[in-house]
Amino acid sequence: MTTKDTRSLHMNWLHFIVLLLLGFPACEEPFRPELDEFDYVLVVDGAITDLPGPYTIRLSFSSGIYSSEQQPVEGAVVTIIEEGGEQETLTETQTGTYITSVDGIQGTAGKSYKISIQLKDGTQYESNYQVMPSSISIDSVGADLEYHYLSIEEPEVPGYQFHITTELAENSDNYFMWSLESTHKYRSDFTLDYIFSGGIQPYPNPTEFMTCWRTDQINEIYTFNTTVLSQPKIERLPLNFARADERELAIRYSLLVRQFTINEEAYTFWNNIQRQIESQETLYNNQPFQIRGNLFNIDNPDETVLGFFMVASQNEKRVFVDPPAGLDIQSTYCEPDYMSYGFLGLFHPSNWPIYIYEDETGQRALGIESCFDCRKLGGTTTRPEFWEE
Amino acid sequence: MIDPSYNGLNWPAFVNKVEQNHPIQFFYKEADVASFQAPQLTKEILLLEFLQTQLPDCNIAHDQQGHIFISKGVEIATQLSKDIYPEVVIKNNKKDSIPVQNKDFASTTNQHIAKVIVIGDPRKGAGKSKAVLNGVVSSTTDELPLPGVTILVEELGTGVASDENGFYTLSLKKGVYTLTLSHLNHIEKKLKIDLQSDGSYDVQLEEKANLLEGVTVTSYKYDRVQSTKMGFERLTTKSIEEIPLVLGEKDILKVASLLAGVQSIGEGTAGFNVRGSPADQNLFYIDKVPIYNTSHLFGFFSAFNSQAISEFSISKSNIPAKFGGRLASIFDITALEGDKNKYKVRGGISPVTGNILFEGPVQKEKSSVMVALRSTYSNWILKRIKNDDFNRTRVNFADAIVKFSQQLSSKSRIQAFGYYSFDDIKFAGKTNFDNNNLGGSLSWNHFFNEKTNMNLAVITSRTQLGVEEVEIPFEAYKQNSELLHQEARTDWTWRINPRHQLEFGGNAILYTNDRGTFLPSDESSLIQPITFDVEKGLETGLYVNKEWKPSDLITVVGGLRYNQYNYLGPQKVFQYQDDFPISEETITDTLQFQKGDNIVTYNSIDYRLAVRYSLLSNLSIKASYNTLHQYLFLLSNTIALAPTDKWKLTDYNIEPMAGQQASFGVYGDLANKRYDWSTEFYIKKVSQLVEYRDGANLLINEFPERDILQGDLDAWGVELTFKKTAGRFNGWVNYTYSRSRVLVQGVDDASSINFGNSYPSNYDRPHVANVVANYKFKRRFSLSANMVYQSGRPITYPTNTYTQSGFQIINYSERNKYRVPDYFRIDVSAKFEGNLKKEKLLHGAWVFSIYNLLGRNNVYNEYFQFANNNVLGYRISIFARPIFSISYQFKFGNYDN
Repeated sequence: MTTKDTRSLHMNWLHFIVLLLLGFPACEEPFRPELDEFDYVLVVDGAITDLPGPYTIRLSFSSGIYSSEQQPVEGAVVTIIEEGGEQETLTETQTGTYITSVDGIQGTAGKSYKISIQLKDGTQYESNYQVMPSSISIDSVGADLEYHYLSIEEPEVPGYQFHITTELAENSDNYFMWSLESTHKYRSDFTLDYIFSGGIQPYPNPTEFMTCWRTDQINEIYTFNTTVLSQPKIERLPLNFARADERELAIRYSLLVRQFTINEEAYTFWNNIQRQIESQETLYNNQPFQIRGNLFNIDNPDETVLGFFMVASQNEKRVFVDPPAGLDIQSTYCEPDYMSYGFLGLFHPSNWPIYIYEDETGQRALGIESCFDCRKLGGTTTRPEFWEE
Repeated sequence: MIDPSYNGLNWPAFVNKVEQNHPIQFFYKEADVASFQAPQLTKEILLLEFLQTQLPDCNIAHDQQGHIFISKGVEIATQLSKDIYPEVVIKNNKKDSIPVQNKDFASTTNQHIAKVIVIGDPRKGAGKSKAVLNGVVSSTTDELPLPGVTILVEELGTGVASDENGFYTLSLKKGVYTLTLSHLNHIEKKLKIDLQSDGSYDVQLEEKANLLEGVTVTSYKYDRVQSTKMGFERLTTKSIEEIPLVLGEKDILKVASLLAGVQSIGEGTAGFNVRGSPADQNLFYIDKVPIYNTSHLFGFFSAFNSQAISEFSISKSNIPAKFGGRLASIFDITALEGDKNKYKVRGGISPVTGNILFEGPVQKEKSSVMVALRSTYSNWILKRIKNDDFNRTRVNFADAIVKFSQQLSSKSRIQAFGYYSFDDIKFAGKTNFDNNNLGGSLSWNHFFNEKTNMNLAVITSRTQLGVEEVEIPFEAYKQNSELLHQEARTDWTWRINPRHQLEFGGNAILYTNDRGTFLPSDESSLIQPITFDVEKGLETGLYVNKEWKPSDLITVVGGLRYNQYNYLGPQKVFQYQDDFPISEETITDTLQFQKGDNIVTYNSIDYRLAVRYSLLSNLSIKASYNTLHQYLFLLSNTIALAPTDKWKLTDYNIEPMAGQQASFGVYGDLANKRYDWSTEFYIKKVSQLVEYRDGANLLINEFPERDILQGDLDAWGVELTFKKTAGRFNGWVNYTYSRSRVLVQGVDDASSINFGNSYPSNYDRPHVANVVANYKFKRRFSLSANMVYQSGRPITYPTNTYTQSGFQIINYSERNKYRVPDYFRIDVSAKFEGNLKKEKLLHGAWVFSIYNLLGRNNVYNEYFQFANNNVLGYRISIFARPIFSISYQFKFGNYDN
């Protein structure tokens, strides 16, 4: 019974009822299912937006659920066609990656686009024409300090609940999809004071690998449509929840919100995916099902093709937050290992170089690499261009 | 034995001498024994053998009590229908001797000779030759009416049986008679009456000693072997008292899931899947009132307070012709009838609820009332929890049952019944949920004569649902809906003669389904208000059911039920292009109907056929075939029923679901009915099964027909049951192998499910085994245990993953191809009764129970998500530890009453 990955989930009814009635929570255990079979199907991933190109289309064959490597599809002819207008055949720059030229086709709101794909074996795939809706500006992205249950076996945790507000749209029926990218700045706990590779050497720049920025695509999909509203305006719609008790929010955190204004068909695709993910862990879940995109084999429309050729208007907004004040939050994650320093000479050379930390009192200690080198935690020491302190 | 000392006696003298020397009574007509010749014996001879030779053209029968019946032309034994009266008193053509040496026999016989009871008044009866006697037979144990009691008029060799309310009626010439009342579980009683005019006489029978103690086995009141019923089970509340249940809440419906062929999706979920059918194909009646929402707290408890229920039965094979409207089963619940003589109060406290029940006479021996209330007190606990979300959570549910019955005359009685239940749950200030059921019935029973009786009833039932989501202020909404069921029905029984019985009647139901509103929950919400239609449907049914016994060995039941369903205006309906998926794009026309207009009519004739053939007195084979139609369903595409599911009527574009079921079974009992066993095989087919397009949003859905796909359900199974019905140790074991598959094949993939291939239904659990065992150590202490084993339910697993706009996405393919791990659970409980003193104020009993004794993590669901770039599965178990609970039950007065 372990805690799940961080996800901004509201504790659902099941958790409550069980906890309420029994005084202990329902139980959740991770497992690795035996799944040997998989569908070997074409996956199309790409979009044309109203932002300037070039636009990228990736073609691959899907793999089983445990191998993350999709097999790229090379040598296909990929064409983006504007209805009643120009069309462009994309160039394969890497295996399976097809790109429009810099001065090539340009998405414009109100126009319709489709994609046509011909594989090396001659199989032809297509989408129907999709109209590009006009973009709707983001008014603001904000964050509130809230406490959430993230797992059924853990107490509530503090964190920032991000939310988005759009400007009033012109049309009543608007469909949105948001994709989020977080960047956080963090520090490793120890200065790299000495290095041991047979002999102890002082390290010239002890703070060289101390500060990092890490950027992640948040694997949570957010969608909304304004058809149920009396006026087409989104107000403080909750986006992701960034927990404040972990490294993510230790120094400074930035969220980039990419807003896609899409048509109804694309909305149905993304909304199905969102609901499929969200419903799974509730007591009243639906049957998961294969979510088809808008691509089909011209000769065999029942063939499964995964992915969606998205035609969307795109807006972006970036916000920064600092750790919430007044919270007693853990700030260090490493314990200096003073004892092992004494056994430095016993390490096998294959483990060299060994990093050494010297505390304020001059005592030396060892630690695992990620305590010295923040890059080991997935970030880079290069400050991103957009970063504001 | 008679010997030469009887030689030369004429019939009256012979009878006199036999009756003097032996505990024997003769019943005969003078004319029938005219041929009697004075005995000329040379040695000892068995009495019956002697009579047989002396009166060769007479039928001679006797019973265990030493009554000898002699008649001509009438077959005594067949006067009583074995189906209704399991223990037939008279056995014919047996050539063994009466066990005159048996002391028990002698003493019981004497005990039965009672004083003569004078009924009526000679003045009132003057001038009439016939008089009608009636009354109610009840049990001394619980004073509940006893159906199926055989009342034999010994002088005439004829008899009647009490009806479902324990009521009997006899039309006789004035005079003195001996009545013998017998019933399977009760001690036979003999009455000598002097009938002088019309009158009534109520009788109480004492329960047989060997069945007194916590019998846990179903089906007292009908004989599984001799009845034509198949797939039928009956449970009494008394019989489930010791069965351990989660959180100490006695729950007769949860016990139903321990019966063969009845399953639920998982713990804490509402609804049953009976023989591979979805949960909305069951109909729950309580005293004729249909209840559309049968659970509290989303399914953790059933909405029926078991304290107030006397029994329930479930028909899952041949559903009687008088019932229609659901394909899988009828749960027929009977509320406790109040005591007509004494006031009684009892109640109980469990960790979650408290309940109290009052019953007593209104007019002594004529009318009674029963009131039962149950409520949770969890709010009281919630307020004391120092946690924000809990503090803002409120859980409240309660139910009430009221039953009143009045004997109007010797031939008529009326019954009024009321039911109310509600759930009101406020969940952390984010989701508010409320639901209520309100229902009532008024029914009138009338006996025209001993052969004909009827019941007339008016019934109403309403279910309301409200859901409010306020977590996100700008899209905060509330939703309300209501289904109203109004019904009138009449049911007639005509017992033409012992070989023929006719039942007929009809009912009409008006459904008013207000699909409700979708409104902003307050001013800050931007939700656009939507008002959905109010649908109306009229379901009428006429039925006739004939039971025919060509011989003792065979019973044939044939029934016809004509159903008509009218979908009524006002309503706007769309016509869609044929052979295309129903969608906004394929609308061809819009039809506007005015109030009362008939929009569409569906009608059908349904068949109910059943045959029983007795191979031996304790072994029979049965077969049955049924067709059924259903005109409303739950809009539900979740695996377990969700509390937000709403009802929907069959309409212009959605056809009624149709079902067929054929069953074949072998039934037997052993050791004088101490054990019974059965094997039943069934095959079932449902067409126009309602399913939903993948991803359908049923919460806000103005045009459900665009998301509904109709398909076929195929199910079959074998159910094996073995029961020990009596004794200190009793219980049952059953095993079911069953399959259930669905096929939804539309014009294209989007209008099909699972690419148009058949798939196992969500409740396809091939192997299910249940064991229920009770052992009564002493009068005050008993132990019980259950064991439940089920194959895991089917589940859809992912087949691959892919990346899309930077998101990692899990793709699923074939539906329900895999299964969650098997389910296994053991529960135990112990019940301690208070002291057995006769005179005391309060009698209490404690029940300690442990649910899921092994603490097994039985998997409710499995799901998959990305964790650090890898797909990981998660298994949810709900009751993942042993759950210990204590409950206390009390009653004012002593142990027995």
